[in-house]
Amino acid sequence: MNILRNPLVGIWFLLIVITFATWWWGSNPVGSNLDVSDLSVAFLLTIFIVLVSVVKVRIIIWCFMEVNKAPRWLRWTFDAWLAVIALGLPMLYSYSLHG
Amino acid sequence: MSSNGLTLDQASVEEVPSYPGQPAMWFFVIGDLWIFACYFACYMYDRGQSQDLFLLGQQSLSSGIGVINTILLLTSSLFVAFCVKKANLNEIKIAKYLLMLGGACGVSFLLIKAYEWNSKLTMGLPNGASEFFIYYFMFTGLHFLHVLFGLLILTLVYRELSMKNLPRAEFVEAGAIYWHMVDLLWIVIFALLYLVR
Repeated sequence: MNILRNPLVGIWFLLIVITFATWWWGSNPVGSNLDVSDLSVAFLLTIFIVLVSVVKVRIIIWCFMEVNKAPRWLRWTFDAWLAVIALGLPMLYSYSLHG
Repeated sequence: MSSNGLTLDQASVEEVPSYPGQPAMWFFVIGDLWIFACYFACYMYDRGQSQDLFLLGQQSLSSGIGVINTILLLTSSLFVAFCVKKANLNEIKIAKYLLMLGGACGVSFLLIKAYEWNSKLTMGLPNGASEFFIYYFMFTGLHFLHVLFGLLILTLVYRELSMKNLPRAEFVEAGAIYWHMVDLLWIVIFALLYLVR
């Protein structure tokens, strides 16, 4: 019973809900009215999915790996990695898509 | 001994933020994440170059299988995180049980991944999507090896918990950190291979 009351269970449930929501939205973007072969739609959808993934990863790093209690250098190293994923990947994709 | 009855070491532990596990594991995890970031960058660039062909390859994947695998790894991470908490409280029996549940989720992940590979290879790959599938098999193959290695580490953690002496907390935590890294890598791989357009 104690385990079920632990905040980690709520965090896990949140991650599961985000996973299902992203999957549903990624598979049927806004009621399937959008054409994913349209480059601008594809790009916006990609940004959304990458950002949601980064949020999920940060929750795991902070709550499961307990980096929130770690020294500053470790927290910043992980945040730098997340920033590269969140900003670098969509920028590279945009450059390659439109370049 | 300080005035409040604590030794100097105890006092400094309370003041300085500490990281769970062993420093070597953190360096390994950070290095591995940056290497994967380079792979992800190559993938996104190539995807932009031939977006329609990558989309063709992606449409032949079952995103439902990807979701099931994501849930399995998230659940295994939860079990392993609880295992660490119980081990730190010296509730070793429950910790071992939770570790086994986490490992079982990992094994299930591998079986589903093997099934997915088998169905892809037996049904054939769509024409023109070979570049997408090079990345698909590279990412999922590398990740598969990480999960296998993670299961080996969890086995060593189980052995540590089974020792007569009290388990080394930093060893159990280091194993858990590696397992969480396997989980978070999959979340990015799942997004890039199955969901992005």
